[in-house]
Amino acid sequence: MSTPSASTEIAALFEQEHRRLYLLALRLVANPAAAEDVVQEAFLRAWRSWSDFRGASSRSTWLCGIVVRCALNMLRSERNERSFVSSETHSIESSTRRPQHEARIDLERAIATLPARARAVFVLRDIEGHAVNEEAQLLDIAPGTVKAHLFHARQRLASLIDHHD
Amino acid sequence: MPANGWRPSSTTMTEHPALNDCPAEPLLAEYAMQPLSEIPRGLQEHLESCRSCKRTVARYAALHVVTNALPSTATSARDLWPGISSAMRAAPRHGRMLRVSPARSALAAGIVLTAFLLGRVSVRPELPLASRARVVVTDSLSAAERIQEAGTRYLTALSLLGEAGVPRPARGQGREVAIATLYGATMELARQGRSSANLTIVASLLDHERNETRSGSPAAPSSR
Repeated sequence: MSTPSASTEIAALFEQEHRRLYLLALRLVANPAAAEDVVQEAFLRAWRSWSDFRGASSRSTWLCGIVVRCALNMLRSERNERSFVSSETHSIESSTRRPQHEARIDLERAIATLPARARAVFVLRDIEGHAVNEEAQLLDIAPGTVKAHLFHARQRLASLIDHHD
Repeated sequence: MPANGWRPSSTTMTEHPALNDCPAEPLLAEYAMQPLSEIPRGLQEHLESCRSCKRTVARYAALHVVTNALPSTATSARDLWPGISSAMRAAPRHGRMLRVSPARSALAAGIVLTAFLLGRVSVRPELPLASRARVVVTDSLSAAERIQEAGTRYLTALSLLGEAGVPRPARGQGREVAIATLYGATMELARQGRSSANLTIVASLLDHERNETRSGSPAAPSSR
């Protein structure tokens, strides 16, 4: 809904949430340029459907759902879950060798290697903190499916973390 | 925060061996990252005697610690708000376009698109049906403004077509090809009888883009 008040509210929401949502998108699509597209598209969709928001959740959660759906749509359309190597990756890796830092870097990388759905489930549950039922609604899958993806994601990531002990 | 992406491993995630051979292992993934009080008593008792599961729980605990230490925000390389605000300004100001009756909008859109396909009409910004849309006229704008407005048109068209289920063009094939792909998708929707006010707007936006691209106008920023 393109009303002036909606535009103002979207602007305020953007200021408040865009960094968090960009990181969410980045973890889901594993590509900075694509994550930027996702965030822009998500805010535009939110603006157009502003009046459709029924208050079942907070605006922030609602917007998070839009970001997730935009990210998954992008992955489906591009059929490319790999991405993008940054020249900064090497500089980050070559910095401190503290095990915890190294494990943290490996975790971000490991998350990027998960299949799209498992990645989304892990990010939303274990990083963003959404409940299983809420996540099931966001992803439009059954709660049991969420748990199955979560199990495999955690098992995979835990095995990789173990390699740096 | 590694905000600039990662090189994923060369192998995709495939089925991998369980972390241990104990039949209770699948339960560990579900409960190991929750507070001890939420773990079923039977599993707690099992953990007291099973060394394999204790090691597995330690791995999940390490995963939990590392996950909680991840940053919660990141800053994109470019400022995303200008593109969003430009697209909002370029879109219809008042209400949803569906205020026009669906039958009338479909008829009008069909007439416009048919006339366009026949080459008898050049699509102008001020269409009767789209009179509420603010399709930008670029003739009097500077080169920089034209670049921004071109990007806005493309972004708006992508977003509207996305809502109709049309996927984004594949990357790396050039702007003219991407626009042609989207235009083809728009025509296909029209042929399927899915005419709508949005579709008319998209056709107009893409036509504007095509003319700009063919005339060698300054390249619009890629919406990727």
